[in-house]
Amino acid sequence: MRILPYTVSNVALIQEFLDETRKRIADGVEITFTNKASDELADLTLDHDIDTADIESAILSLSTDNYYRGIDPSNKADFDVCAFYTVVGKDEVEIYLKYGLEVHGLQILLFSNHVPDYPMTQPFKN
Amino acid sequence: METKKVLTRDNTLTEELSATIIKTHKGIRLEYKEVYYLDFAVDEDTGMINKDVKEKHYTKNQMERNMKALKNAYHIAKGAASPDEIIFFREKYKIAASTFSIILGFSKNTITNIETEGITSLSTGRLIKICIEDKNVITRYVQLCDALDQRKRDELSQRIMEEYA
Repeated sequence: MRILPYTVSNVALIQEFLDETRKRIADGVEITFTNKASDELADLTLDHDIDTADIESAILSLSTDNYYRGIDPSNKADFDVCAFYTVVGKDEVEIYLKYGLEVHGLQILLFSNHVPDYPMTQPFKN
Repeated sequence: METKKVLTRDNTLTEELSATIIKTHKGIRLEYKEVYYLDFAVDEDTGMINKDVKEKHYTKNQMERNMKALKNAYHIAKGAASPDEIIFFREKYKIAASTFSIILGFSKNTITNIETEGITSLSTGRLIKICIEDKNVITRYVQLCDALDQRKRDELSQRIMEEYA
């Protein structure tokens, strides 16, 4: 996935992605999980008692500071996909969170939610 | 039996499917039933939909049900009583779910909830397991249950002791 350079317009692009996510959830769109995301949430559930509500809450709490990589600005894809580094649950477990917004539809599709395999940078932080 | 329907990405109705999942977590083998539906795969790097391949997808509701089933399987593997064991025990000794709940010191509906939705707490599940496997423990709790009158307590204790003998 592409890492967008830190520019005012790119920060605005990620903010737009986050605003659209919040709007869809506020309008009643529920998060859909892929098979991989489901497997990963199973591990988070057993290890840290994380549930779907915690994941939704983590998504709603994202800011541009949490940006890791993603969004192809060419708008050629069926989904805008973006990855973030954030924390989830009452124990604030660090996770890699990747989801997509359907471009010509409303689906919010979760691809990844797992403890990072390696240290993650936050290129838009500070 | 009518199956549940789920809306796919392009707003067509599709059937909810189910499968038995076997998962090994930290050396523990877990087996549980999950529900899902099929929709076209999406490449998580490019964001492109592949109209040739369908993959498992899960609604939020399906995920909640699956995670509940997973936790139930995990708790049973870690020593909790299963809902089936609890039902078997109650039916064998003719104890109502609400009565069994009160004997164990839970609120009235706890046992019913566990029997229908699964074990949600490992400590609760383990306590129930100990009670249904040890006649001395369960009869002691029966005798300590002041919500039942003495005649009922004695009758229940005797039934349990006789059956175990």
